[in-house]
Amino acid sequence: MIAGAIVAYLALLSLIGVWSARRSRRSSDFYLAGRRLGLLTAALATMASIMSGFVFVGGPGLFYSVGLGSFWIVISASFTGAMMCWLLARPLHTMAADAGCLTIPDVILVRYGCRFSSGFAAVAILLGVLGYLATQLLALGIVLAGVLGTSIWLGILLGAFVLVLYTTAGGMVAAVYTDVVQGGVMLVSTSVIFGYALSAGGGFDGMSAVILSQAPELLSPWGLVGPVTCLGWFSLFALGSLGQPHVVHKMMMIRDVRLLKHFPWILAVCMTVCSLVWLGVGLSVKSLVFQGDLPALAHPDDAIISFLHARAPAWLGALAYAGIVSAIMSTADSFSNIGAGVLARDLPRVLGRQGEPTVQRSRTFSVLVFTFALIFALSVKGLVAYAGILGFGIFAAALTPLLAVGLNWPAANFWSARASLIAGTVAAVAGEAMSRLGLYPLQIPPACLALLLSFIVFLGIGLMPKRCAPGSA
Amino acid sequence: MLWLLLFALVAVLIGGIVGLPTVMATGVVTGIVALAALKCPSRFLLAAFWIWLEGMLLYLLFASHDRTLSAFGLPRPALVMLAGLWLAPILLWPLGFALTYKKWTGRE
Repeated sequence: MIAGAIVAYLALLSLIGVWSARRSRRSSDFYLAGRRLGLLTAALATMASIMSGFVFVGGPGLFYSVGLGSFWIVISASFTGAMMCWLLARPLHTMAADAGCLTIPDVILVRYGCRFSSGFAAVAILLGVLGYLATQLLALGIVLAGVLGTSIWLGILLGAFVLVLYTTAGGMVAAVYTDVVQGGVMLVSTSVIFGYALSAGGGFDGMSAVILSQAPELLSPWGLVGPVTCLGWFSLFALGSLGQPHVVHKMMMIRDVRLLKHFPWILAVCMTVCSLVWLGVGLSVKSLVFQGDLPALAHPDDAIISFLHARAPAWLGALAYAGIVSAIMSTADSFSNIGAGVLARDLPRVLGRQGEPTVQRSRTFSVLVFTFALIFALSVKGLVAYAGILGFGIFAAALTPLLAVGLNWPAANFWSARASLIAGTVAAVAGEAMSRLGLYPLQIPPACLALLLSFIVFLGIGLMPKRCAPGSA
Repeated sequence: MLWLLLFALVAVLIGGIVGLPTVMATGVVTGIVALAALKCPSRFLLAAFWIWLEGMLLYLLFASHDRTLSAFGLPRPALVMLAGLWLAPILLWPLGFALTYKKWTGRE
Protein backbone atom coordinates (compact mmCIF):
# COMPACT_ATOMS: atom_id res chain seq x y z
CA MET A 1 0.00 0.00 0.00
CA ILE A 2 2.77 2.46 0.96
CA ALA A 3 4.77 1.74 -2.21
CA GLY A 4 1.66 2.10 -4.41
CA ALA A 5 0.73 5.43 -2.79
CA ILE A 6 4.24 6.82 -3.26
CA VAL A 7 4.45 5.72 -6.90
CA ALA A 8 1.04 7.29 -7.61
CA TYR A 9 2.16 10.47 -5.88
CA LEU A 10 5.38 10.69 -7.92
CA ALA A 11 3.34 10.15 -11.09
CA LEU A 12 1.04 13.06 -10.10
CA LEU A 13 4.05 15.37 -9.63
CA SER A 14 5.40 14.34 -13.04
CA LEU A 15 2.03 15.15 -14.63
CA ILE A 16 2.09 18.62 -13.07
CA GLY A 17 5.54 19.07 -14.59
CA VAL A 18 4.32 18.11 -18.06
CA TRP A 19 1.31 20.43 -17.70
CA SER A 20 3.55 23.30 -16.56
CA ALA A 21 5.95 22.89 -19.49
CA ARG A 22 3.45 24.63 -21.77
CA ARG A 23 3.28 27.58 -19.41
CA SER A 24 7.06 28.08 -19.33
CA ARG A 25 7.85 29.96 -22.52
CA ARG A 26 9.98 32.89 -21.35
CA SER A 27 12.77 33.30 -18.81
CA SER A 28 10.41 35.14 -16.46
CA ASP A 29 8.15 32.07 -16.54
CA PHE A 30 11.02 29.67 -15.97
CA TYR A 31 12.60 31.58 -13.09
CA LEU A 32 9.72 33.56 -11.57
CA ALA A 33 6.63 31.51 -12.51
CA GLY A 34 5.54 34.45 -14.70
CA ARG A 35 5.22 36.65 -11.57
CA ARG A 36 1.61 35.53 -11.26
CA LEU A 37 1.49 34.06 -7.75
CA GLY A 38 -1.51 34.80 -5.57
CA LEU A 39 -1.57 34.92 -1.78
CA LEU A 40 -2.30 31.28 -0.98
CA THR A 41 -0.01 29.88 -3.66
CA ALA A 42 2.85 32.08 -2.51
CA ALA A 43 2.35 31.22 1.17
CA LEU A 44 2.13 27.46 0.59
CA ALA A 45 5.06 27.45 -1.85
CA THR A 46 7.16 29.48 0.61
CA MET A 47 6.32 27.16 3.48
CA ALA A 48 7.04 24.07 1.39
CA SER A 49 10.43 25.50 0.33
CA ILE A 50 11.44 26.36 3.90
CA MET A 51 10.33 23.08 5.46
CA SER A 52 12.73 20.52 4.04
CA GLY A 53 13.08 16.85 4.94
CA PHE A 54 14.98 18.04 8.02
CA VAL A 55 11.69 18.93 9.74
CA PHE A 56 10.43 15.35 9.39
CA VAL A 57 13.67 13.43 9.84
CA GLY A 58 16.30 15.64 11.47
CA GLY A 59 13.91 17.51 13.78
CA PRO A 60 12.48 14.53 15.70
CA GLY A 61 16.01 13.10 15.77
CA LEU A 62 17.38 16.29 17.28
CA PHE A 63 14.56 16.34 19.83
CA TYR A 64 15.39 12.72 20.67
CA SER A 65 19.04 13.56 21.30
CA VAL A 66 18.96 17.05 22.88
CA GLY A 67 15.34 17.53 23.99
CA LEU A 68 13.24 20.68 23.91
CA GLY A 69 16.30 22.86 23.22
CA SER A 70 16.15 21.70 19.59
CA PHE A 71 12.90 23.63 19.24
CA TRP A 72 14.73 26.97 19.14
CA ILE A 73 15.37 26.22 15.47
CA VAL A 74 11.67 26.52 14.61
CA ILE A 75 10.51 29.06 17.17
CA SER A 76 11.27 32.01 14.92
CA ALA A 77 8.79 30.66 12.32
CA SER A 78 6.13 32.87 13.86
CA PHE A 79 7.72 36.11 12.77
CA THR A 80 9.73 35.14 9.68
CA GLY A 81 6.78 35.95 7.42
CA ALA A 82 6.21 39.43 8.84
CA MET A 83 9.93 40.25 8.67
CA MET A 84 10.07 38.99 5.09
CA CYS A 85 7.14 41.18 4.08
CA TRP A 86 8.41 44.32 5.81
CA LEU A 87 12.00 44.07 4.66
CA LEU A 88 12.05 42.18 1.39
CA ALA A 89 8.67 41.98 -0.34
CA ARG A 90 8.48 45.43 -1.82
CA PRO A 91 12.11 45.96 -2.89
CA LEU A 92 12.38 42.49 -4.42
CA HIS A 93 9.03 42.78 -6.16
CA THR A 94 9.92 46.22 -7.52
CA MET A 95 13.29 45.03 -8.79
CA ALA A 96 11.66 42.09 -10.55
CA ALA A 97 8.96 44.27 -12.10
CA ASP A 98 10.92 47.42 -12.96
CA ALA A 99 14.52 46.31 -13.41
CA GLY A 100 13.79 42.86 -14.87
CA CYS A 101 15.65 41.02 -12.11
CA LEU A 102 15.01 37.28 -12.19
CA THR A 103 17.45 35.97 -9.57
CA ILE A 104 19.07 37.09 -6.32
CA PRO A 105 22.49 37.78 -7.94
CA ASP A 106 20.57 39.99 -10.40
CA VAL A 107 19.14 41.93 -7.48
CA ILE A 108 22.62 42.35 -5.98
CA LEU A 109 24.01 43.55 -9.31
CA VAL A 110 21.26 46.14 -9.72
CA ARG A 111 21.31 47.28 -6.06
CA TYR A 112 25.07 47.60 -5.60
CA GLY A 113 26.19 48.03 -9.22
CA CYS A 114 29.02 45.65 -8.51
CA ARG A 115 29.82 42.66 -10.69
CA PHE A 116 32.19 41.21 -8.14
CA SER A 117 29.48 41.10 -5.46
CA SER A 118 26.96 39.63 -7.87
CA GLY A 119 29.46 37.02 -9.09
CA PHE A 120 30.61 36.14 -5.59
CA ALA A 121 26.99 35.79 -4.45
CA ALA A 122 26.29 33.58 -7.47
CA VAL A 123 29.22 31.29 -6.63
CA ALA A 124 28.21 31.16 -2.95
CA ILE A 125 24.63 30.33 -3.95
CA LEU A 126 25.86 27.61 -6.33
CA LEU A 127 27.98 26.03 -3.58
CA GLY A 128 25.07 26.11 -1.17
CA VAL A 129 22.65 24.78 -3.79
CA LEU A 130 24.87 21.81 -4.64
CA GLY A 131 25.34 20.93 -0.97
CA TYR A 132 21.67 21.33 -0.12
CA LEU A 133 20.47 19.52 -3.25
CA ALA A 134 22.83 16.61 -2.65
CA THR A 135 21.50 16.30 0.91
CA GLN A 136 17.91 16.30 -0.32
CA LEU A 137 18.67 13.73 -3.03
CA LEU A 138 20.39 11.44 -0.54
CA ALA A 139 17.49 11.76 1.91
CA LEU A 140 15.03 11.09 -0.91
CA GLY A 141 17.02 8.02 -1.95
CA ILE A 142 17.01 6.65 1.60
CA VAL A 143 13.26 7.18 1.99
CA LEU A 144 12.36 5.73 -1.42
CA ALA A 145 14.70 2.78 -0.89
CA GLY A 146 12.97 2.07 2.43
CA VAL A 147 9.49 2.32 0.92
CA LEU A 148 10.07 0.55 -2.41
CA GLY A 149 12.60 -1.98 -1.17
CA THR A 150 15.32 -0.93 -3.61
CA SER A 151 18.94 0.02 -3.02
CA ILE A 152 19.70 3.59 -1.95
CA TRP A 153 21.35 4.56 -5.21
CA LEU A 154 18.32 3.33 -7.17
CA GLY A 155 16.12 5.34 -4.80
CA ILE A 156 18.27 8.43 -5.44
CA LEU A 157 18.07 7.88 -9.20
CA LEU A 158 14.30 7.43 -9.15
CA GLY A 159 13.77 10.52 -6.99
CA ALA A 160 16.17 12.56 -9.12
CA PHE A 161 14.42 11.38 -12.31
CA VAL A 162 11.03 12.67 -11.14
CA LEU A 163 12.54 15.92 -9.90
CA VAL A 164 14.44 16.48 -13.15
CA LEU A 165 11.32 15.68 -15.15
CA TYR A 166 9.07 18.26 -13.57
CA THR A 167 11.53 21.02 -12.72
CA THR A 168 13.27 20.92 -16.07
CA ALA A 169 10.06 20.80 -18.07
CA GLY A 170 8.11 23.39 -16.12
CA GLY A 171 10.78 25.46 -14.38
CA MET A 172 9.50 27.54 -11.47
CA VAL A 173 5.90 27.18 -12.68
CA ALA A 174 6.13 23.44 -12.03
CA ALA A 175 8.10 23.95 -8.82
CA VAL A 176 5.49 26.32 -7.39
CA TYR A 177 2.44 24.26 -8.33
CA THR A 178 3.99 21.03 -7.10
CA ASP A 179 4.97 22.94 -3.94
CA VAL A 180 1.31 23.78 -3.37
CA VAL A 181 0.35 20.10 -3.65
CA GLN A 182 3.35 19.05 -1.56
CA GLY A 183 2.62 21.74 1.04
CA GLY A 184 -0.95 20.47 1.35
CA VAL A 185 0.28 16.89 1.79
CA MET A 186 2.79 18.06 4.42
CA LEU A 187 0.11 19.90 6.41
CA VAL A 188 -2.23 16.92 6.44
CA SER A 189 0.47 14.37 7.21
CA THR A 190 2.10 16.37 10.02
CA SER A 191 -1.26 17.02 11.71
CA VAL A 192 -2.23 13.34 11.56
CA ILE A 193 1.22 12.10 12.65
CA PHE A 194 1.19 14.56 15.57
CA GLY A 195 -2.19 13.34 16.78
CA TYR A 196 -1.20 9.71 16.37
CA ALA A 197 2.18 10.19 18.07
CA LEU A 198 0.51 11.81 21.07
CA SER A 199 -1.98 8.98 21.48
CA ALA A 200 0.72 6.29 20.90
CA GLY A 201 2.94 7.88 23.54
CA GLY A 202 0.15 8.08 26.14
CA GLY A 203 -0.82 11.74 25.68
CA PHE A 204 1.16 14.86 26.57
CA ASP A 205 0.79 14.24 30.29
CA GLY A 206 1.93 10.62 30.08
CA MET A 207 4.94 11.35 27.88
CA SER A 208 6.01 14.30 30.01
CA ALA A 209 5.77 12.21 33.17
CA VAL A 210 7.93 9.43 31.69
CA ILE A 211 10.59 11.83 30.38
CA LEU A 212 10.64 13.87 33.59
CA SER A 213 11.17 10.72 35.63
CA GLN A 214 14.14 9.58 33.53
CA ALA A 215 15.85 12.70 32.14
CA PRO A 216 14.12 15.91 33.29
CA GLU A 217 16.69 18.17 31.64
CA LEU A 218 15.32 17.08 28.23
CA LEU A 219 12.19 19.14 28.98
CA SER A 220 14.14 22.18 30.11
CA PRO A 221 13.80 25.07 27.61
CA TRP A 222 17.49 24.72 26.79
CA GLY A 223 17.54 20.91 26.55
CA LEU A 224 20.95 19.25 26.80
CA VAL A 225 22.78 21.89 24.75
CA GLY A 226 22.45 24.94 26.99
CA PRO A 227 21.26 28.49 26.41
CA VAL A 228 24.20 29.74 24.32
CA THR A 229 23.71 27.13 21.60
CA CYS A 230 19.93 27.51 21.72
CA LEU A 231 20.10 31.30 21.46
CA GLY A 232 22.62 30.87 18.64
CA TRP A 233 20.12 28.70 16.75
CA PHE A 234 17.38 31.23 17.47
CA SER A 235 19.52 34.11 16.11
CA LEU A 236 20.60 32.10 13.09
CA PHE A 237 17.13 31.04 12.03
CA ALA A 238 15.35 34.29 12.98
CA LEU A 239 17.77 36.46 11.00
CA GLY A 240 19.32 33.98 8.54
CA SER A 241 15.95 32.95 7.06
CA LEU A 242 15.91 36.36 5.36
CA GLY A 243 18.92 35.33 3.26
CA GLN A 244 17.72 31.95 1.99
CA PRO A 245 17.45 32.44 -1.79
CA HIS A 246 14.91 29.66 -2.36
CA VAL A 247 12.61 31.35 0.16
CA VAL A 248 13.00 35.07 -0.51
CA HIS A 249 12.92 34.40 -4.26
CA LYS A 250 9.17 33.80 -3.85
CA MET A 251 8.74 37.51 -3.02
CA MET A 252 9.78 38.27 -6.60
CA MET A 253 7.04 36.00 -7.96
CA ILE A 254 4.06 37.62 -6.27
CA ARG A 255 1.54 39.24 -8.56
CA ASP A 256 1.09 42.29 -6.34
CA VAL A 257 2.59 43.10 -2.94
CA ARG A 258 -0.80 44.42 -1.81
CA LEU A 259 -1.90 40.79 -1.63
CA LEU A 260 0.44 40.21 1.29
CA LYS A 261 -1.76 41.44 4.13
CA HIS A 262 -2.53 37.92 5.31
CA PHE A 263 0.71 36.30 4.13
CA PRO A 264 2.50 36.33 7.54
CA TRP A 265 -0.21 34.52 9.46
CA ILE A 266 -0.87 31.94 6.74
CA LEU A 267 2.86 31.22 6.56
CA ALA A 268 3.24 31.14 10.37
CA VAL A 269 0.28 28.80 10.88
CA CYS A 270 1.42 26.44 8.09
CA MET A 271 4.99 26.32 9.44
CA THR A 272 3.76 25.74 12.97
CA VAL A 273 1.54 22.87 11.87
CA CYS A 274 4.49 21.32 10.03
CA SER A 275 6.76 21.60 13.03
CA LEU A 276 4.23 19.68 15.15
CA VAL A 277 5.80 16.49 13.81
CA TRP A 278 9.09 17.55 15.39
CA LEU A 279 7.49 17.92 18.82
CA GLY A 280 5.06 15.00 18.63
CA VAL A 281 7.36 12.32 17.27
CA GLY A 282 10.33 13.57 19.30
CA LEU A 283 8.39 13.37 22.58
CA SER A 284 6.69 10.10 21.72
CA VAL A 285 9.83 8.23 20.60
CA LYS A 286 11.81 9.38 23.63
CA SER A 287 9.09 8.31 26.02
CA LEU A 288 8.55 4.95 24.24
CA VAL A 289 12.29 4.25 24.41
CA PHE A 290 12.35 5.13 28.13
CA GLN A 291 9.43 2.76 28.74
CA GLY A 292 11.15 -0.02 26.79
CA ASP A 293 8.40 -0.14 24.15
CA LEU A 294 10.85 0.86 21.43
CA PRO A 295 14.53 -0.13 21.20
CA ALA A 296 17.06 2.68 21.72
CA LEU A 297 17.89 4.30 18.39
CA ALA A 298 21.24 3.55 16.77
CA HIS A 299 21.10 6.96 15.13
CA PRO A 300 18.82 9.85 16.25
CA ASP A 301 17.70 10.51 12.67
CA ASP A 302 15.99 7.10 12.70
CA ALA A 303 13.38 8.47 15.13
CA ILE A 304 10.49 8.92 12.73
CA ILE A 305 11.25 5.80 10.64
CA SER A 306 11.49 3.63 13.80
CA PHE A 307 8.24 5.10 15.08
CA LEU A 308 6.42 4.47 11.80
CA HIS A 309 7.72 0.90 11.51
CA ALA A 310 6.95 -0.01 15.10
CA ARG A 311 3.72 1.85 15.76
CA ALA A 312 1.97 3.18 12.68
CA PRO A 313 -0.66 1.38 10.59
CA ALA A 314 -0.06 1.12 6.82
CA TRP A 315 -2.31 4.07 5.93
CA LEU A 316 -0.42 6.36 8.31
CA GLY A 317 2.89 5.08 6.98
CA ALA A 318 1.78 5.95 3.43
CA LEU A 319 0.69 9.43 4.51
CA ALA A 320 3.86 10.01 6.51
CA TYR A 321 6.15 8.90 3.69
CA ALA A 322 4.22 11.07 1.25
CA GLY A 323 4.79 13.97 3.64
CA ILE A 324 8.51 13.27 3.91
CA VAL A 325 8.90 12.90 0.14
CA SER A 326 6.93 16.14 -0.32
CA ALA A 327 9.11 18.04 2.12
CA ILE A 328 12.29 16.86 0.43
CA MET A 329 11.13 17.44 -3.13
CA SER A 330 9.56 20.85 -2.47
CA THR A 331 12.90 22.17 -1.27
CA ALA A 332 14.95 20.41 -3.94
CA ASP A 333 12.91 21.76 -6.88
CA SER A 334 13.50 25.39 -5.87
CA PHE A 335 17.22 24.73 -5.52
CA SER A 336 17.53 23.22 -8.98
CA ASN A 337 15.88 26.30 -10.46
CA ILE A 338 18.15 28.68 -8.53
CA GLY A 339 21.23 26.68 -9.49
CA ALA A 340 20.19 26.72 -13.16
CA GLY A 341 19.78 30.50 -12.91
CA VAL A 342 23.33 30.88 -11.60
CA LEU A 343 24.84 28.78 -14.41
CA ALA A 344 22.65 29.91 -17.29
CA ARG A 345 22.48 33.64 -16.64
CA ASP A 346 24.14 35.00 -13.48
CA LEU A 347 27.70 33.85 -14.06
CA PRO A 348 27.62 34.56 -17.82
CA ARG A 349 26.30 38.08 -17.09
CA VAL A 350 29.06 38.72 -14.60
CA LEU A 351 31.55 37.59 -17.24
CA GLY A 352 30.12 40.11 -19.71
CA ARG A 353 27.64 38.06 -21.70
CA GLN A 354 24.54 40.09 -22.60
CA GLY A 355 20.97 38.98 -23.18
CA GLU A 356 18.64 36.46 -21.62
CA PRO A 357 19.24 32.74 -21.97
CA THR A 358 16.56 30.80 -23.80
CA VAL A 359 14.29 28.55 -21.76
CA GLN A 360 15.89 25.57 -23.50
CA ARG A 361 19.31 26.68 -22.28
CA SER A 362 17.96 27.12 -18.74
CA ARG A 363 16.48 23.61 -18.90
CA THR A 364 19.85 22.22 -19.95
CA PHE A 365 21.55 23.88 -17.00
CA SER A 366 18.84 22.63 -14.68
CA VAL A 367 19.72 19.07 -15.73
CA LEU A 368 23.40 19.91 -15.24
CA VAL A 369 22.78 21.12 -11.66
CA PHE A 370 21.00 17.87 -10.86
CA THR A 371 23.84 15.87 -12.44
CA PHE A 372 26.47 17.62 -10.30
CA ALA A 373 24.38 17.20 -7.15
CA LEU A 374 23.74 13.54 -8.01
CA ILE A 375 27.44 12.86 -8.49
CA PHE A 376 28.14 14.63 -5.22
CA ALA A 377 25.44 12.67 -3.37
CA LEU A 378 26.61 9.32 -4.75
CA SER A 379 30.34 9.86 -4.42
CA VAL A 380 30.86 11.57 -1.06
CA LYS A 381 28.00 10.31 1.10
CA GLY A 382 29.83 11.01 4.35
CA LEU A 383 30.17 14.68 3.49
CA VAL A 384 26.67 15.24 2.21
CA ALA A 385 25.02 16.01 5.55
CA TYR A 386 27.86 18.40 6.28
CA ALA A 387 27.32 20.07 2.91
CA GLY A 388 23.63 20.55 3.73
CA ILE A 389 24.41 22.27 7.03
CA LEU A 390 27.03 24.35 5.28
CA GLY A 391 24.48 25.35 2.62
CA PHE A 392 22.16 27.08 5.10
CA GLY A 393 25.11 28.77 6.80
CA ILE A 394 26.54 30.10 3.54
CA PHE A 395 23.20 31.47 2.39
CA ALA A 396 22.55 33.10 5.76
CA ALA A 397 25.99 34.63 6.19
CA ALA A 398 26.54 35.68 2.58
CA LEU A 399 23.16 37.07 1.66
CA THR A 400 21.17 38.21 4.72
CA PRO A 401 22.88 41.58 5.35
CA LEU A 402 22.96 42.42 1.64
CA LEU A 403 19.24 41.77 1.26
CA ALA A 404 17.58 42.46 4.61
CA VAL A 405 19.59 45.59 5.40
CA GLY A 406 21.03 46.65 2.05
CA LEU A 407 17.71 46.78 0.21
CA ASN A 408 16.33 49.13 2.87
CA TRP A 409 19.33 51.32 3.47
CA PRO A 410 20.35 53.58 0.60
CA ALA A 411 23.74 54.39 2.16
CA ALA A 412 24.96 50.78 1.96
CA ASN A 413 27.54 50.61 -0.78
CA PHE A 414 29.38 47.96 -2.75
CA TRP A 415 32.31 48.03 -0.32
CA SER A 416 30.00 46.90 2.47
CA ALA A 417 28.55 44.26 0.17
CA ARG A 418 31.93 42.90 -0.95
CA ALA A 419 33.43 42.77 2.52
CA SER A 420 30.34 41.23 4.06
CA LEU A 421 30.05 38.58 1.34
CA ILE A 422 33.67 37.54 1.70
CA ALA A 423 33.68 37.64 5.52
CA GLY A 424 30.41 35.73 5.78
CA THR A 425 31.25 33.02 3.28
CA VAL A 426 34.79 32.44 4.54
CA ALA A 427 33.64 32.38 8.17
CA ALA A 428 30.80 29.94 7.36
CA VAL A 429 33.07 27.53 5.48
CA ALA A 430 35.94 27.78 7.99
CA GLY A 431 33.65 27.49 11.02
CA GLU A 432 31.84 24.39 9.71
CA ALA A 433 35.16 22.81 8.68
CA MET A 434 36.61 23.42 12.15
CA SER A 435 33.46 22.08 13.75
CA ARG A 436 33.63 18.92 11.64
CA LEU A 437 37.28 18.41 12.54
CA GLY A 438 36.53 18.93 16.25
CA LEU A 439 38.57 22.15 16.37
CA TYR A 440 35.70 24.57 16.97
CA PRO A 441 35.87 25.56 20.65
CA LEU A 442 32.72 27.69 21.07
CA GLN A 443 29.14 26.83 22.01
CA ILE A 444 27.61 29.32 19.61
CA PRO A 445 26.94 27.52 16.29
CA PRO A 446 29.56 28.37 13.61
CA ALA A 447 26.91 29.42 11.09
CA CYS A 448 25.52 31.91 13.62
CA LEU A 449 29.00 33.29 14.25
CA ALA A 450 29.49 33.72 10.50
CA LEU A 451 26.13 35.46 10.14
CA LEU A 452 26.94 37.88 12.96
CA LEU A 453 30.38 38.66 11.52
CA SER A 454 28.89 39.29 8.12
CA PHE A 455 26.26 41.67 9.55
CA ILE A 456 28.84 43.51 11.66
CA VAL A 457 31.20 43.98 8.71
CA PHE A 458 28.35 45.16 6.49
CA LEU A 459 27.03 47.65 9.03
CA GLY A 460 30.48 48.70 10.24
CA ILE A 461 31.71 49.68 6.78
CA GLY A 462 28.38 51.22 5.78
CA LEU A 463 28.24 53.37 8.91
CA MET A 464 31.82 54.64 8.60
CA PRO A 465 32.09 58.40 8.09
CA LYS A 466 32.53 59.04 4.37
CA ARG A 467 36.08 60.35 4.73
CA CYS A 468 37.13 57.03 6.34
CA ALA A 469 35.19 54.72 4.03
CA PRO A 470 37.06 52.50 1.56
CA GLY A 471 37.47 54.16 -1.82
CA SER A 472 36.86 57.64 -0.44
CA ALA A 473 40.27 58.83 -1.60
CA MET B 1 18.32 52.09 14.24
CA LEU B 2 21.33 50.85 12.26
CA TRP B 3 23.67 51.72 15.12
CA LEU B 4 21.32 49.94 17.51
CA LEU B 5 21.32 46.91 15.19
CA LEU B 6 25.12 46.96 15.04
CA PHE B 7 25.51 47.17 18.82
CA ALA B 8 22.87 44.48 19.35
CA LEU B 9 24.63 42.06 17.00
CA VAL B 10 28.01 42.81 18.59
CA ALA B 11 26.39 41.98 21.94
CA VAL B 12 25.12 38.65 20.57
CA LEU B 13 28.60 37.88 19.22
CA ILE B 14 30.38 38.74 22.45
CA GLY B 15 27.73 37.00 24.55
CA GLY B 16 28.05 33.91 22.38
CA ILE B 17 31.85 33.81 22.50
CA VAL B 18 32.22 34.59 26.20
CA GLY B 19 29.19 32.53 27.23
CA LEU B 20 26.85 35.22 28.57
CA PRO B 21 23.34 34.11 27.63
CA THR B 22 21.63 37.16 29.15
CA VAL B 23 23.66 39.52 26.97
CA MET B 24 23.04 37.26 24.00
CA ALA B 25 19.29 37.14 24.61
CA THR B 26 18.98 40.94 24.94
CA GLY B 27 21.18 41.37 21.87
CA VAL B 28 19.20 39.06 19.65
CA VAL B 29 15.81 40.47 20.66
CA THR B 30 17.07 44.03 20.14
CA GLY B 31 18.65 42.99 16.84
CA ILE B 32 15.44 41.46 15.51
CA VAL B 33 13.41 44.50 16.52
CA ALA B 34 16.00 46.97 15.17
CA LEU B 35 16.06 45.12 11.86
CA ALA B 36 12.25 45.09 11.66
CA ALA B 37 12.29 48.82 12.50
CA LEU B 38 13.90 49.56 9.13
CA LYS B 39 10.45 49.14 7.59
CA CYS B 40 7.89 48.42 10.31
CA PRO B 41 5.69 51.52 10.46
CA SER B 42 4.71 51.28 14.13
CA ARG B 43 7.11 52.05 16.95
CA PHE B 44 4.46 50.94 19.44
CA LEU B 45 4.33 47.51 17.83
CA LEU B 46 8.11 47.20 17.94
CA ALA B 47 8.21 48.19 21.59
CA ALA B 48 5.52 45.61 22.36
CA PHE B 49 7.50 42.91 20.49
CA TRP B 50 10.68 43.83 22.32
CA ILE B 51 9.05 43.72 25.75
CA TRP B 52 7.30 40.43 25.00
CA LEU B 53 10.36 38.61 23.60
CA GLU B 54 12.80 40.01 26.12
CA GLY B 55 10.48 39.16 29.01
CA MET B 56 10.04 35.61 27.77
CA LEU B 57 13.75 35.00 27.20
CA LEU B 58 14.79 36.45 30.56
CA TYR B 59 12.15 34.38 32.32
CA LEU B 60 13.41 31.23 30.58
CA LEU B 61 17.01 32.03 31.46
CA PHE B 62 16.32 32.65 35.12
CA ALA B 63 13.59 30.04 35.71
CA SER B 64 14.86 27.17 33.58
CA HIS B 65 15.33 24.91 36.62
CA ASP B 66 11.78 25.43 37.86
CA ARG B 67 10.25 21.93 37.90
CA THR B 68 6.72 23.02 38.87
CA LEU B 69 4.32 21.09 36.66
CA SER B 70 1.72 22.99 34.68
CA ALA B 71 -0.70 22.19 31.85
CA PHE B 72 -0.05 18.99 29.82
CA GLY B 73 2.25 17.75 32.57
CA LEU B 74 5.03 19.99 31.27
CA PRO B 75 7.34 21.94 33.59
CA ARG B 76 6.29 25.58 33.71
CA PRO B 77 9.28 26.99 31.74
CA ALA B 78 8.70 24.45 28.93
CA LEU B 79 5.06 25.49 28.69
CA VAL B 80 5.97 29.18 28.74
CA MET B 81 8.48 28.56 25.96
CA LEU B 82 6.01 26.67 23.77
CA ALA B 83 3.03 28.91 24.44
CA GLY B 84 4.75 32.27 24.81
CA LEU B 85 7.53 32.06 22.25
CA TRP B 86 6.23 29.57 19.70
CA LEU B 87 2.43 29.80 19.62
CA ALA B 88 1.52 33.30 20.86
CA PRO B 89 3.83 35.15 18.42
CA ILE B 90 1.99 33.39 15.58
CA LEU B 91 -0.89 35.67 16.48
CA LEU B 92 1.11 38.68 17.65
CA TRP B 93 3.50 39.32 14.76
CA PRO B 94 1.13 38.58 11.86
CA LEU B 95 -1.66 40.45 13.64
CA GLY B 96 0.70 43.38 14.13
CA PHE B 97 1.58 43.22 10.45
CA ALA B 98 -2.06 43.13 9.39
CA LEU B 99 -2.96 46.04 11.71
CA THR B 100 -0.18 48.26 10.40
CA TYR B 101 -0.54 47.02 6.84
CA LYS B 102 -2.25 50.14 5.48
CA LYS B 103 0.43 52.34 6.98
CA TRP B 104 3.12 50.08 5.51
CA THR B 105 1.69 50.10 2.00
CA GLY B 106 0.94 53.82 2.11
CA ARG B 107 4.38 54.78 3.35
CA GLU B 108 6.34 53.59 0.36
